Amino acid sequence: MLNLFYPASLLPHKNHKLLDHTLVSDCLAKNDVQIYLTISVSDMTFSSSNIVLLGRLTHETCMHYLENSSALLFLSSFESLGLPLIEASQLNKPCICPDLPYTRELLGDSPYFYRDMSVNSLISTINHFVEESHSPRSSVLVSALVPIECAWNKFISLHRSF
Amino acid sequence: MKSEQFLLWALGINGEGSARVTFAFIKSICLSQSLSSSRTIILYSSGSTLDQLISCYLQSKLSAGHNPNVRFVRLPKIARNYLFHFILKFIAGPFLTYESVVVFDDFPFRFLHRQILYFHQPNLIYNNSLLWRIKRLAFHLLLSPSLIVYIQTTHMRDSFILKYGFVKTVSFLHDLV
Repeated sequence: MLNLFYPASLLPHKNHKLLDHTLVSDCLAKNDVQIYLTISVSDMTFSSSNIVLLGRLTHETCMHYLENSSALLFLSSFESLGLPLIEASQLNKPCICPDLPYTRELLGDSPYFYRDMSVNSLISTINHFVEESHSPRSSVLVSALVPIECAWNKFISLHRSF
Repeated sequence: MKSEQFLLWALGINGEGSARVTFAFIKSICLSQSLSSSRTIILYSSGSTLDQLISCYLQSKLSAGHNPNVRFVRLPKIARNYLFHFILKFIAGPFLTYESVVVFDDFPFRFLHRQILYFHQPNLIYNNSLLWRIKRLAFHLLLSPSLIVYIQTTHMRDSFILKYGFVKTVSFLHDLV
């Protein structure tokens, strides 16, 4: 069984509704894929028994689920950064996400992309990932990260640069 | 009494992602040897996600090496109210006599020099609901020529410049460790 983990609150742009579709349910059942979501039953329900609602989790617990998942699933239409994408790359996890500027900037060509908001494209991508699941493509961060201490030092001296 | 040098303003921070990013900076300031001589005030609100992270940190053994020049100031939950925040950001700027102010929540101070806004609210660019259009208007009113805006990624920076016509921006990716 393959496990996909999507750590996101229930906000409109996070697109959990993409998963509430008969075609997605059929795809998950056929491929024996489970999706774990960090929302609760009171937020939203799904007809598919392959979608598991974990409720709100601590960051540590989220990392535990990500470490033990087959891939990160990330459905958001916009993000300022996309922390789970960075975390997935640091854990060498594959990533299934929309082909958008924010995902491309962080992970380049490494994710399994689908067309944003397209159920058919998402299903096709999940099928593709399942086919490669024996040796999937890990997501790779394309930019180096500035150490946070250096970032703070940069901030407090920025006004001298302008 | 000598005034503090730096202010890390996180009064409005309550989202999970924004709290994690802000807390990473706070922890870095608290534990960094190179920053130990800097005097920093960290301002946040009670009952927020950030408050939980700070409380856990202060109770943990990790804070044993805590920089004594860092002071935490926790204000009541009402301080997170957007209207209160907007008014505060409009009038309080001239009273902040710090060498540098780094603002981590959504709104910058209108009349404050030596200020950096850490911009990480994508709804201020992409969300077209009525609520966020009102917030965008408030954001427009608070932008000032002296403000410097840090934005995590270049795509967000480009979208920000398109949306607000504001070009005094800096962008680079940093870690959270």
